[in-house]
Amino acid sequence: MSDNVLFVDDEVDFLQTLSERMSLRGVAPTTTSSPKEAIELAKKENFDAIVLDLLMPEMDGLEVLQALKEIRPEVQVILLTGRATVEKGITAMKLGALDFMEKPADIETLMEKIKRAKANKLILVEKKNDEMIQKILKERGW
Amino acid sequence: MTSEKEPRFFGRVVASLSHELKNALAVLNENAGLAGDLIEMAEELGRPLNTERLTAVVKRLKANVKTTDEIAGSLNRFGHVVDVLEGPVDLDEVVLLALRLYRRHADRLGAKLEPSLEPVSLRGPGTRLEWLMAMFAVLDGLLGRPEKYRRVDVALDPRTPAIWFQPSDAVGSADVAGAARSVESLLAEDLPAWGPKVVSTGLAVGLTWSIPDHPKQ
Repeated sequence: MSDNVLFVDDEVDFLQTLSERMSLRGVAPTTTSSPKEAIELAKKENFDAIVLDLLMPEMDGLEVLQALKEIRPEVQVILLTGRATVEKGITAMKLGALDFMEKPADIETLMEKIKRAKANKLILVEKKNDEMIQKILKERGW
Repeated sequence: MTSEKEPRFFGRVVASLSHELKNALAVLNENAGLAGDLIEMAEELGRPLNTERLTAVVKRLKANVKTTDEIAGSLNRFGHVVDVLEGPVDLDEVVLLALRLYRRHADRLGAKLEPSLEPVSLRGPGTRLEWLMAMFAVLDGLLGRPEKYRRVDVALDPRTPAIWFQPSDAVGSADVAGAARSVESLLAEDLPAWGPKVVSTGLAVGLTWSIPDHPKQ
């Protein structure tokens, strides 16, 4: 099954080319240049990973990250930015970002991070399911 | 201007332009990578090269080399603003440079900057760096307003003389007098020695200076 990844960046040329390259590597990419649309998309679909630009018009990448984590705490976000300050990087990690990459990025490194994101998400989803099963078993006294 | 403000201003502009450069390089990097992917795929599968896709990639590469060159050119022009620190300043050139340097920030705020410069040559006192800093203060004052202007027209008027900034297309109710006060307080923190003044017509905010202090005009 292909990796279902959302790419969010205000640079349309960058999005278009990156998604073409990702498709060639078996990723099913969804793209948007609007942070607000990204939040709506994340409400509807449970992506394996979200690759998010940090500086965009409309909304700051950190605000988007926070909103995404509120919608789906298990979501795995990789920040990709042209300008990474140490402070922003630390804040992003504190807010639950999986990783932080600077542009221009190496596609194979990005692919590795996407694979890791998918594996992390699976572990979190399994853990959540186990907890739910344990809770039901306990409540019903089985 | 205070000595602390100038390096901070340089930092702000260089950080913004280097961010633009990084984005442009990222597009170049992805397109070069895609060309490589297409060639590798054709070789591995023993199929003819998809020339249509490759042509599209080449087209995007050329367009982005042009973009990158334009950004590098702006960075270079900005670096040279401190070359000449005496004599009158050609304001038409400085206005265009200020609007170019401010563009990314304006984009992030969802605003468009439109120069409506008639072919007039207007010279002002002070230095090019001081003018750039003053124009940034005006734009910060206007675009930082709660009414959120989405367009600013900028024009030179040799009669006043002044550089006029006309904000429009506000999300909230337009308040140009309030905007003029915001600009005034921002400039007050950072007033160059030639003492520019903020004027307002109710429709536009102007940056003006007194003619008697104007050297060599």
